[in-house]
Amino acid sequence: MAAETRGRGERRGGRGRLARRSWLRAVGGVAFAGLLRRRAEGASVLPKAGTWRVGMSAALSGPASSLGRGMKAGLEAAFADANARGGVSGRAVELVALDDGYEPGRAGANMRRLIDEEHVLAVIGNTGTPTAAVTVPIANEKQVPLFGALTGAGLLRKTPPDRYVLNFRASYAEETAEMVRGLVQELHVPPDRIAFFTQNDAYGDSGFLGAVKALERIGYARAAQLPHGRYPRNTIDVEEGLARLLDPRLHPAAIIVVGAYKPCARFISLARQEGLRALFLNVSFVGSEALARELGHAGEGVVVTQVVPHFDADLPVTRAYRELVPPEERTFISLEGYLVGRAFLAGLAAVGPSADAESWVNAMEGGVPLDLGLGQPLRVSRTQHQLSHTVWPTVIRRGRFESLARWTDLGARS
Amino acid sequence: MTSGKTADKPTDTSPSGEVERNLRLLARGGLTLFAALAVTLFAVQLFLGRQMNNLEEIALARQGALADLESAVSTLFQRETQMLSATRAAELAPLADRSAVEAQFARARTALGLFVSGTDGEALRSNAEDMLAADQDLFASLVKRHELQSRFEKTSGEVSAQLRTTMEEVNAISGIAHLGFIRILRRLSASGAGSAGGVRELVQGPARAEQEIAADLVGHILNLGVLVGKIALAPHGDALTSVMANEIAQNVAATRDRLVALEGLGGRQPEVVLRGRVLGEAYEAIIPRIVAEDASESMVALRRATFAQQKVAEELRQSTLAAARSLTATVARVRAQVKSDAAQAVSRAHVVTWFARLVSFLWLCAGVWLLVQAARRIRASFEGLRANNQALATLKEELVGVNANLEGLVAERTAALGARERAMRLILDHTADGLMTIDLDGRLSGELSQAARRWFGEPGPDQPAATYLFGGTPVQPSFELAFSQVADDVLPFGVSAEELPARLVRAGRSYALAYSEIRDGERLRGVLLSVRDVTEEEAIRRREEDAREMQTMIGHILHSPQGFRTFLDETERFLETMAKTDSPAVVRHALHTLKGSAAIYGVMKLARFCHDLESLLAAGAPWERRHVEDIAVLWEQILANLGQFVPRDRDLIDVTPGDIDMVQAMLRERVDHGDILELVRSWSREPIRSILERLGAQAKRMALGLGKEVQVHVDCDNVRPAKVLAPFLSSLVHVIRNAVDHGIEPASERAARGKPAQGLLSLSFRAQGPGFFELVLADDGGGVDFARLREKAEQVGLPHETESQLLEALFADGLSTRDEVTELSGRGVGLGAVRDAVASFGGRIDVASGPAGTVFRFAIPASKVREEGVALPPTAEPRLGRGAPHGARS
Repeated sequence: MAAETRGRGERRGGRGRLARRSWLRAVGGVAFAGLLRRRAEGASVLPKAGTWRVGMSAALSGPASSLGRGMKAGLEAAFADANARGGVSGRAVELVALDDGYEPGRAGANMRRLIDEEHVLAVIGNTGTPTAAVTVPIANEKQVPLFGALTGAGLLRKTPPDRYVLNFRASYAEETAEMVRGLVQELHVPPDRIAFFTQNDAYGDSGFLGAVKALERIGYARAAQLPHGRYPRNTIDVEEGLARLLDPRLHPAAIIVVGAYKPCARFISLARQEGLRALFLNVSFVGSEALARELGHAGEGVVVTQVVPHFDADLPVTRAYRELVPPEERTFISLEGYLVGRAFLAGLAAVGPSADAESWVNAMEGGVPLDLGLGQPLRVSRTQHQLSHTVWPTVIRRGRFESLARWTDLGARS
Repeated sequence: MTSGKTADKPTDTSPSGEVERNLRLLARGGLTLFAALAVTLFAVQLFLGRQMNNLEEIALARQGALADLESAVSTLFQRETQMLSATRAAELAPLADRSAVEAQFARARTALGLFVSGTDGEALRSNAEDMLAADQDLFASLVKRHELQSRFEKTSGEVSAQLRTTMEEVNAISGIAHLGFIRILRRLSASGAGSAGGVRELVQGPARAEQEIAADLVGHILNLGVLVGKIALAPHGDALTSVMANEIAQNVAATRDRLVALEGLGGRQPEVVLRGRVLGEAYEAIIPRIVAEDASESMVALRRATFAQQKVAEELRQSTLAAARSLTATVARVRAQVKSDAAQAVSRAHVVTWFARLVSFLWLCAGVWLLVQAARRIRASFEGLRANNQALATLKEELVGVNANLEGLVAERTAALGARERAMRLILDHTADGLMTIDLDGRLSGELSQAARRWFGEPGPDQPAATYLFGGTPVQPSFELAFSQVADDVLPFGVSAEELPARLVRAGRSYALAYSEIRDGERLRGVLLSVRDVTEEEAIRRREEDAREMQTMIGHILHSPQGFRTFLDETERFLETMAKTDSPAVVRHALHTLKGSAAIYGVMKLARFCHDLESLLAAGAPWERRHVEDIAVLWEQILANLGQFVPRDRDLIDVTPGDIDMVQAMLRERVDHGDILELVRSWSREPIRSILERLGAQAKRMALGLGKEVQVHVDCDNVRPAKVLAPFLSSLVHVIRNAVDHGIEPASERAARGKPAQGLLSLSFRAQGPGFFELVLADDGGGVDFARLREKAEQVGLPHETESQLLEALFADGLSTRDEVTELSGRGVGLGAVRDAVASFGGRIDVASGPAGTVFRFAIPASKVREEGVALPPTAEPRLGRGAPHGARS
């Protein structure tokens, strides 16, 4: 409603032919301000009294369900803990989680339902980049914060940022950039021996482009011409991409893999089967645990970069996490969900009992330092909407993930 | 016009009746005309109104209906355009409701139905219906087309999805084949060069064939996608048929061939065979969805149906256009009809207007004709009336005649009249006045009273009143003249009767005559003359006057016996002068002076007599001796009446204490006795003061009579002027009179000139040196009116150039600045008498006159005052001689 009004007002002003009706614009502006205020009031009044309602639309079923379920588990752990401590500003926190099966259409419907019917304060912990392509515009339109989505895509990291879109995790580009940094600067791999295997969509592209930029930054101009195999999304038809990288003329020393765990695992397995001796590096989104499981013994030495620390790490936040989450549910995803939940609640607590969407965003943009126990406080600003920029590299050893304190810990590789 | 006929044969012959009838006719005509005009106006109004309604209907209703129809057609076209331009069913949906345009058509048709009938009306109706039907069909067709389109799109989308899957499948096969080939390459590259078997496998082995088949399949599937797009874009059925018959058929044949070939490769890579089968199934599933002509949901079938609907729509559109063209043509025809109808109505209205003007003009002419006609008739009627009146008058006179003949009546009346006449006679016989009536011819008519008969005798038959009353007297002609004026009855009677003589003296008796008009209505019938014997009354009045005069005279005598005796002497001297002389001038002077003196001493009878005599002489009557005798008789009479009061014997002398003091002084100083003697002798004369004071009193009396007020100042030596100066001193009365009458202005005039209201008159008599005395008479009046004096002098022929000449003329006889003669002055005689008197003793007159007044100075030689043994005028001698100096009356 308010957006519509604003849209009309803008059209009018934009055309400029009604300059003589500037008073109308003034009136429109006043009305708009009034509507904004009402909207803001509505956001704080409409939630069920006594609880902070927070929405979530994630892949709770389907091939990517482990992502959604992990996020949900982490969020619930954080909220249950907060509620057990007496809620935030004296009110309990309630999570309304809807399943979108990683499908953009369902994600959009869920988003509207959460906002229009469930009257949530914010939507947090969504999964996936394609779904984000739908939910981001809705969040902007409805002026409801979309926070901590499980995606590192640039779509959610515009410059300048969308007011209602805030992220927790580091971007894919940051992950691949860290990979490049580690490979080239710590492991001294020549840049022309780096190859890529990516999903043929925006996710894959963002990882690839992040690495290319990082390589270009360090002086390698031909990064875009590096060997690059691709596979179609939602298939495991990795043969064609594999065939490209297996070309006997190539000797890739490191392959940066950006994709889903199943095709990636198949790719890594097949490649190793064909005798390709290279270091495989995956971004966090691959789904670390699922990848390790899928690879089995073929996963030995595969690197996965993380945007959260290892859940066994000795950090206050991981200790708290471990207290709340049973060992079988401890994953990088659920830890991310927990961190997103903690960050959201920290912002909410900072605003106080009168918190609403606007005031929460204002508080976050105001740069409230959030000390989640990651060793250093995190904060966002009006121009930068991402809390964490840290990438934690891990390696699969004997089916389990181990933190890589230094890239050189991987041992010399050919 | 019909009324004209009725006027021709009148039932009532009286002119007044005719007038009435004509007036009624006029009213009826006017009313009829008015009604006719009203009816005409109403009819014209009605007709014009109808024409206007027609016009309104034609111009507004029909045009409106036509416009409605056209707007309906345009709405329809708009609808069609919208329909045709709609790209989605949702855009078409709002156009489903045709009720608005149908209602519009229905309205226009209903409106048009009122005035368009016949073939045009039928054409309009059928055209409209055709258009509406075509619209409906078009809509239906478009809905169908959109439905088909959406079904096609759905199918197309599904086919595309299937194609995508198939593509993935074929890509996967291609990938696997590629990997297999790479593996061989890797193996070769790993095992080093020279492995002939390896090379042969690479060149001729199934891996290469596999890879080639996969590449072909990829191409075919891609081609199929292109063909699907071609079907969606095919502009018409022929293009569709071409795509199907050639390209799709070829694609299907080639694909099947490749799939068979893939199968034929055998189980080198079981996965490839497996996936090849899946691909084949998927492919076979797609093809019918694209090409099956009979299956309603195949893309080609849907596309063909769409084309069919497009054709239908096009045809409908054409039919709509045709209907619209026909409708437009019909509308144009109808419009032309409407236009011609309107023009007809307008021309009809014009005709009506002209007709109305003509009729109104005719009615107006008729009205004017009627008015003229009626006016002529009324005039004729009035003339008839006048003639009738005349006839009536004649009739009346005849009737009078008839009446006169009615003897019986007359006798009766006569008896009554006789009684009345007798009564009248009785009055006439016993009244003391003489009553008589004079008819307009101046004859006596009717009865005379007994008194008149007694006084004037029996009148002759038809004797004129003039001869009866005034026969032989000079009054007779003036009576006749005056009476004719009265009889003319032009002037008011009161004015003309004034001219008739009021008195009559006959046979020693005086009668007063009074005239009254006898009127019969407005007309003067005669004059009633009533005569009264006033002889006794006059005698009594005269006696009373005499007595009063006597008293006045006695007053004068008592006041100044010496003065009065001078007057007596003077009068006798004048009488002698008049008796002796023949000169009219001398007589006039004497008479005039006598008149003045008489007035001074109050002897009014004498003054009047002199005045009458003067008037008579002025009128031209000759001077006769008997006039002197008459005066003498009168004078004797007056003297007789005065009797003993007349100081005839000069036994009284005025001696003042001053006189006696003077004598005593002279005696004491032993002055020459001659002087004393002279002084004492002079005592027989009147002192100058007494004379001047009398003049002053006279001036005051005169002023009083003129409504003026005069203050008199007397200043003189104690002298008694010699008798030689007596005429001169008497003549001074004229100067005094002039001063009062002409000199001193009325009080109002004096006030305007800044002078006191009272006039001042000063008289002085003083010795001026040893040689002579000076008598000064001065007034402070307005002076002599020189302009008027000049005018008068010119009239009489006297020199009048200089002021001194004018002053000289002042003393000329017969010159007076007055036009009117009064008893006081005006005859122009007075100052002439003064000049003569001064000349007689050798004196001198000096006159000065100005706005501040007039001064007369008379220089008198002292010898004339003192009477030094100068010979007295002969006439005075006897008197002097007669009077004894010491005559006492004891």
